[in-house]
Amino acid sequence: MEDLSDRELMVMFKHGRREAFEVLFVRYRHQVWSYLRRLVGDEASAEDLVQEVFLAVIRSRETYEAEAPFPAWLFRIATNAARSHFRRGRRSPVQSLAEGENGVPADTRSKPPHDLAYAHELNSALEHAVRELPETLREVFLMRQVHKLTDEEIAQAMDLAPASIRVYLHRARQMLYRKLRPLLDERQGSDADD
Amino acid sequence: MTEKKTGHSLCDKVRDRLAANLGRGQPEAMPEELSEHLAGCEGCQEELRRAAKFTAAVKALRATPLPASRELRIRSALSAELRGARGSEAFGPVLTAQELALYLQVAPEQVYGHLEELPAFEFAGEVRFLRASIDQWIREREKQFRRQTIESSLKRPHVLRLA
Repeated sequence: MEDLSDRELMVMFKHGRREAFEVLFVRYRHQVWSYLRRLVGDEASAEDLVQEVFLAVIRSRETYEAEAPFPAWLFRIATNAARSHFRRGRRSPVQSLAEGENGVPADTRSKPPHDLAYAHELNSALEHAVRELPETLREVFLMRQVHKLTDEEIAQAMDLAPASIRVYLHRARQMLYRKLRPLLDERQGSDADD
Repeated sequence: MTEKKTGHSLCDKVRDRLAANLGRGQPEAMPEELSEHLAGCEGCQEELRRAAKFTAAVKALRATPLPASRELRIRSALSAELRGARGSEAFGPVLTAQELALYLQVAPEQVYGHLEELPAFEFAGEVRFLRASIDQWIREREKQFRRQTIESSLKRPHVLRLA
């Protein structure tokens, strides 16, 4: 059953084969968790939302259309769950994080260039900067860069045109690059490589 | 004067190209004119190195695994939903390995790891567990555990005295 496509599994699940859902859950649990954890910023809320997303998959299996790519459908549910989470009045990840000037964490900016953990710092700063992106840009960036959805799949997940997705993605990359620029100084990378 | 203006313009074009390729898996190739400029312009080369570092960092972003303890709780809720009921009564008379893991509150891998100890049966290539047999097996394990605890206490009389 692990060899079956997402669509085949969803069709089987619609027809009452619960083990098909198990395969889909195993296939996508880490993706959904990771996406939501980065969107909402805390693990407890992300766990609630992962549960909410897969419960929605179970409850909405009758309305799933086999023509729609499963990842687009799943990430639409996950994105809507995260948006509802913020609408319910909980803190946004931007507000919940301490930040320095230019959006780069203060502890990262103060590290000396000889720090051997440069790559790790850069990654941490990037994760931080991703959390600070405007909601829509953050969603598009994560779906594309981390979860490898195509522009068309993201467009379906967000009810937008693929051209708009490309614009959002470009904006997201530009914003992230500007925020990380102080850390991308040549000396730091060279020292880290030594 | 003209040269200076052209130089600035080429720098802008190169940097626009680099910006367009940020984070992309397959960057678009540069026109020859811009490649030549890039080869001789220190500022643009520096920008190229920054862009490459940024792209590498973006590509290194990965999906992080769902922790096992959180997965267990999520699976428990999903299992109840799949059966159309909630709580421990959601389990039927025959359990799958996945359901047994939830029933015993352990990871599914632990069920497979201790398969030889468990009362199980095989049908059509699938392992199943009769819930009544599992309950009986649990009661036996309880007795065994109690005996072991008492024997262990007897070997350490000071513990009994303290108790």
